[in-house]
Amino acid sequence: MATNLAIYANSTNTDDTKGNVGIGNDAFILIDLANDYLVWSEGSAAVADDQDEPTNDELNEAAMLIEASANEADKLFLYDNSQLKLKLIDLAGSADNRYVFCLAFDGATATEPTLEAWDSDAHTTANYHCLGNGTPANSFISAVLTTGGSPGASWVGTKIAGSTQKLLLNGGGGALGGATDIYFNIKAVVPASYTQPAAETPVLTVRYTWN
Amino acid sequence: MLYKIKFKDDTIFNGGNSLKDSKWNEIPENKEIESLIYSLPDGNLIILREYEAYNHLVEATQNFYGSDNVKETIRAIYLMGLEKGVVTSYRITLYEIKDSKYKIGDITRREYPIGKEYYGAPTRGWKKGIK
Repeated sequence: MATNLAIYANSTNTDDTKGNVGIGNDAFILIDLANDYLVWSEGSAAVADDQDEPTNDELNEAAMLIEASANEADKLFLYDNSQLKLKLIDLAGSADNRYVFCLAFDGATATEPTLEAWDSDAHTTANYHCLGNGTPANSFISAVLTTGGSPGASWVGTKIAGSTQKLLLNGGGGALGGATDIYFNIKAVVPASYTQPAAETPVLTVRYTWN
Repeated sequence: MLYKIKFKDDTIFNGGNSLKDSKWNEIPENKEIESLIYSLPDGNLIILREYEAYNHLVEATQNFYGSDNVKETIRAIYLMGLEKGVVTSYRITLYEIKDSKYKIGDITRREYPIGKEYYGAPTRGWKKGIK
């Protein structure tokens, strides 16, 4: 039988499992993969928790900044289309938080699932500036597997871009043996004095197989 | 029917009708596969035969950030045959968009050492063939 995947984002400040925090509008939000989306931002009055969907101008005004030192995105939001609101994913980022995103697999897999980043749904190139501008190891986006434990303060994680830089979602342990909740944290960091401003929307994807 | 398996003892196993229910895991473990006859998207067949072991994978992705958010997408089928430590992998493309490298139905054949047959990593689900 096929293995199905549901993806959740913890919209609370409670660093605990989906089972303990619960599922709902102010808990682990089930991401509507067709209509919800993530926003990395410095934040503003318009781009804030429980605000309406921001306009492009509002997003640009609150965009991540290029600074003289490396600059981590201050905030990660989920635009929840079911509520028509931005929801702050406050646990996301380089702090020592564990239960941020949950990948709920309902069965075994034939290979180890991976978290990847690409320019588009074609999954053929990862050349965006935020994905390393052709050098995947320079991706702005890093992720860390936290199923087995907290990542530690100021965690480094794995930069994700293309097929060579991806996060193994079973820690290198291979295929999943059955239904499993996998947790990860994620951050975006603009390198110091990066020379090229850009407005980009890469694709984050989970790849998995079944027999 | 996705595929048909002929065992060494001339018995037949009919695969599932859907990639969501291929019945691959229902193939008897104690019988030796002589050939795997698989239906391609265009109606043609691909046949793998006389391998030491066989595997079948359905590859799916779920995008959750970006301009191309879509629900689960089944990308490809992988048919694999093992012989003398080498896996011959046939990847059948099932999904394309305008800048995809491969088109639906394209088959790419690759060889890998066993244990590295899927992006440098092992797979689960091997079924016994004829030694």
